[in-house]
Amino acid sequence: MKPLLKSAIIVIPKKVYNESVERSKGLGREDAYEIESYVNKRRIEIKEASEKTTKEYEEMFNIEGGEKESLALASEFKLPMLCDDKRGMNAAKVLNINIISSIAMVKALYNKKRIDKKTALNSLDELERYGWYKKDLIENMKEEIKNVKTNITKDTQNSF
Amino acid sequence: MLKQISLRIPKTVFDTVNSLSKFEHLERSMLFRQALLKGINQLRKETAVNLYKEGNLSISEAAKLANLGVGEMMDLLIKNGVKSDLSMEEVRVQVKVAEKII
Repeated sequence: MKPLLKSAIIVIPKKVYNESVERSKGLGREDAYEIESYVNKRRIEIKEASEKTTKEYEEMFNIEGGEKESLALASEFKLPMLCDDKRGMNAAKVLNINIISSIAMVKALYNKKRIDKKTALNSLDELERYGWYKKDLIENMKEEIKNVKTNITKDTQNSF
Repeated sequence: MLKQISLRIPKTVFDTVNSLSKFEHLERSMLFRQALLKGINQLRKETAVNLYKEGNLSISEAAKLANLGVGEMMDLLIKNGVKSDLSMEEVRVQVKVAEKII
C-alpha cells in the first residue's frame, strides 16, 4: 500500500472504512491500523457517494454493502476501482468502471518502477501465501517479473 | 430478549445434552441455548460461503450474513477453497489501467 500511496490518493467510501477499519480494529487486525494511519495522514480519503447513485446501483445489481458504495463512488468520481470481489467486478464491467485487483497493482507498481523486483516478488509471495489468487496466475506474474531481468541481461550482453 | 419455541429433537441429542449438563453442572436449557447459538453461527458462515460461491452475494454481503468483517470473510472463503477466478488476460488489462494512475 505504501508505494501506491506515494503516487496516488485512495478514496474509500465510509461503509468500506467501517468494514475494513472500525470492525477489524476490534479484532486486532494490523491492516486496520495501517489504513487508519493513512486516513489520518490524508493519503486515504473517506468520501460518500450520493444516495441517488447508491440506491440506483442497489436496485440495478441487487448488491449491498461496501461494493455498492465503492461502485457508486467510482462512478461519480470517474475513478478506477480497487476490487477483488467477483460481483463487484461484474457490476463494474457493466458500468464501464475500470477495475484493478491487488495482483495487477503489484505488477503495475513494478512496471512503473515504484517498487523493485525483490519487493514485487515478495508481494506476490505474500499474495500466494494468502491464497486468494490461483497459483498459476501468481506463478505467471512472477515469471514475467523475473524475465525482465533476463531480457535486460541479454540486451546488455548483446550490446557489449 | 429471549423468545420461547417448542421443537422436536432426536432422542440421542436430548440424551447427549442431559449427560453434558451433568458434567458441566449447567442447566439443560442453558446448554441447548449454547449449542443452538454455536450451530446457528456455523450455519450463517456456511450459508455465506455457499452463497458467495454461487455468485449470489458479494464479499461484504457474505460478511454481513456471517457476522464477520470483510477480512475475516475472505479468510473464511480461502479456508473453504474459494479462489478468485481472475484470468491472466483480465490481469493484463488491469495492469494497463493501474499504470495510468500511478
